[in-house]
Amino acid sequence: MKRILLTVLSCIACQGWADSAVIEFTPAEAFAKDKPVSGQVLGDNCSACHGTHGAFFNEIMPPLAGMDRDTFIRLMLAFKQGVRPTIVMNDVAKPYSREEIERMADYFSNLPAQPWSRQTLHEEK
Amino acid sequence: MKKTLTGLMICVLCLPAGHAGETTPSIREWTPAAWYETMRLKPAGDATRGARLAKVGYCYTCHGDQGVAPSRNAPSLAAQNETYLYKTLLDFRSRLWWADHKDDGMHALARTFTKQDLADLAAYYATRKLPTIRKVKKGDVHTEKLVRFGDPSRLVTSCAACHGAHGEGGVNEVPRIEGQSYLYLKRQLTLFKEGRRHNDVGAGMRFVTEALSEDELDRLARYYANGQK
Amino acid sequence: MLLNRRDVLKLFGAGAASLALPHGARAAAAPRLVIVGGGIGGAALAKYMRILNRDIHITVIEPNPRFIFCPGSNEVLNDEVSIDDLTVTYDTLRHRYGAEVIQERAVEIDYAGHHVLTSGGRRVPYDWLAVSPGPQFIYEAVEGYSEALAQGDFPHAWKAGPQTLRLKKLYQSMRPGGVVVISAPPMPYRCPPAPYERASFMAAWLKRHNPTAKILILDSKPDFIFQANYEDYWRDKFGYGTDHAMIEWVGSHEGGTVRQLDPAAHTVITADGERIRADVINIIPPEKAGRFAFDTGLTLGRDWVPVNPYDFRSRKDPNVFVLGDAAEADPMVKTGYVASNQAKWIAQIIHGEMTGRDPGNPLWTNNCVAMAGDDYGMTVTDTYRYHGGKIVTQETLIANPSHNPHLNALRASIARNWQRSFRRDIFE
Repeated sequence: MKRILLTVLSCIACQGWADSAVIEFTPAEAFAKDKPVSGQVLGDNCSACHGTHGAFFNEIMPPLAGMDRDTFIRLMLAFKQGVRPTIVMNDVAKPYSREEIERMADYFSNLPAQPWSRQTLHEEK
Repeated sequence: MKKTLTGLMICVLCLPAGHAGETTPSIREWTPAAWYETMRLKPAGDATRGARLAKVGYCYTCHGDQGVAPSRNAPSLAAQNETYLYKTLLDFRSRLWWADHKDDGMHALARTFTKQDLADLAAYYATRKLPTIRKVKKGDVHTEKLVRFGDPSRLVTSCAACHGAHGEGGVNEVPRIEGQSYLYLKRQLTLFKEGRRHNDVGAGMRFVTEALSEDELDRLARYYANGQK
Repeated sequence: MLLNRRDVLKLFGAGAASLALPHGARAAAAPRLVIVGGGIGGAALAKYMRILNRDIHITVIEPNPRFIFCPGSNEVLNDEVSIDDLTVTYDTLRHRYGAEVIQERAVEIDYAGHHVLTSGGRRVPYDWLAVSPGPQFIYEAVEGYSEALAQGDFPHAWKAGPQTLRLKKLYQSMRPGGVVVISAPPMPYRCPPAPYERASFMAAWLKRHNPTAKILILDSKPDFIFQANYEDYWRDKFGYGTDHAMIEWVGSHEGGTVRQLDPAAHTVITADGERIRADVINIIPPEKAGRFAFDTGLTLGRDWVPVNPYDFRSRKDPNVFVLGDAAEADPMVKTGYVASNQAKWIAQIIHGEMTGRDPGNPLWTNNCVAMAGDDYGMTVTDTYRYHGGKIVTQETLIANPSHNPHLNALRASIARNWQRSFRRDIFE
């Protein structure tokens, strides 16, 4: 019975729910002994969609700058675990460890929730 | 058995897919007369069918399971005014509600649904429950005044007059605004003020927001967000 | 504004002073990063370097006053996007990020003296040099093809600009029932899904205006990325696989490799010796690292520039970084997305060296999009890490084809979103 249910579920996947062909995948745990990747280096990989410093506020893909830390972590973990199908974020979140997701959350939650084009960097000290 | 079930699922899932463009909608702004006529012709919504459409339409991606927004980036739809939801989807579909590329997603998606689909989605979300209906906390004196009495000197109607004493929504298409995120409310108020969002019937919201300062709009957004992250 | 007026003056003041001094005597002045090439890699490095570091002097050497983005340029063929939509200037890099942009061609590196020589005879001193020249085309791989033909009636249009418009004109003015041949190159080349995206957009236009026309993709590969997605969409829209197919694809295993062009006869000749006449011939040639990388010896006898996989310092000289399509950064794919993320990482390396802080480990993604039509998008997510002394692919996931019209519409709209926000991330 369990098997039939599984088949039905995977069929839902092929009939319109987003799923992806796994060409290659290694869980983040395999890299646990490497030097850590900083929240900024991780977070700056998000900018092509979410904007420089996650601060594009007028696009479909939502801004991350100034996002609530706990909300960020909760959502990313749900994406990573594939709780429900998403357009692309399940695939995006999958390679990161929990610690990396927390570091990204630290990075984005500390950035100002201001459109990038209106931000001033390196203000007069 | 396995095969039968598989076949069945394929069938069920093929059905709800709506098709775009029964008519090419015009992007004329809403006059009260045009809107009342549209309201009158609104098909009755089927919430059960709406639930299925919400799933295949990936609505939960931004608006959350059961229409409770998972983040500040999209409004909650649960317990929202059904007429408002229907109108909003129509407006996204026709592109009458299009302020910038943020609205591209809703436009692209709404185009893949029929009017009946939109009514069903509206029925589904309107019947979802918000986790707790919180009372709006008290704001500062000036904001409270705007909320309750408006500002007759500037011909500003009070928010409560249309949106209800606690922002819970009103008659016809007037939406619930309480508990939406600050980011969402601020964006909408700003877009109305700048005239970039113009799907409000009779330009009502544009008229009110034009008279208010950016600071007042900011406080109102915080007031109705009510601490929503 | 990121920099105020005083900052900019200070930066350029320091720069002007150090120009006159020999290397080593500049220690007190702002350190200098010179970037050769103002494409996606070079521009992203200039911007992200400035975001990290207020003091560094940044110079970009780029002969063109404007940059035209390639991502999104297939839509130009379909009238959905104009070249203007894809064109940016260097004003933001100059004024917002305080980069000096020298509008000349870099011609030589004086490795010992830490200078770049330009076509205008300038000697530009550097502490770090970053080279991002993009690829060059190997025209001679297809006998009879040449740069001159590419600029004439046989555009490759693999760099957005005049050739894109030329190709558009050629295929849109084709006789009824005409044939377009697209010759897709072997790996590695810039933006692997783009030939198929191009065919799709052309077919959409032809279906409306020249419905008996055909597009024949002759491929030098046995398969291609998003193949399942494209074939699915082509079956749905263009009768793919039937006798009335508007798009046909012939892989290298079926003799798709184009070996020769006979321009006078408007004919391509495949590896099997088959002669195929076509009204429009779009040969996308194989690629290797840009000319500057060869002229300066950075390629060390290879087709692409060997780099240290941790920090992208060239094998030839550790003060010279190489990034973007020109770098041999296997297993990374050659996309603008990857180039921009290499650039951000190199900025971390340089900033780390300036401040003495360890930037930790890198991670690069290539979370890219492609389209088959305005109602059909697709996504790939590649994640690369530095592990065991080399770059490894941690993840490659490709969105499966879907017949859910809602999902396809959403995928298409986020693909467009990506095109816009990617441009803005480099140049806003």
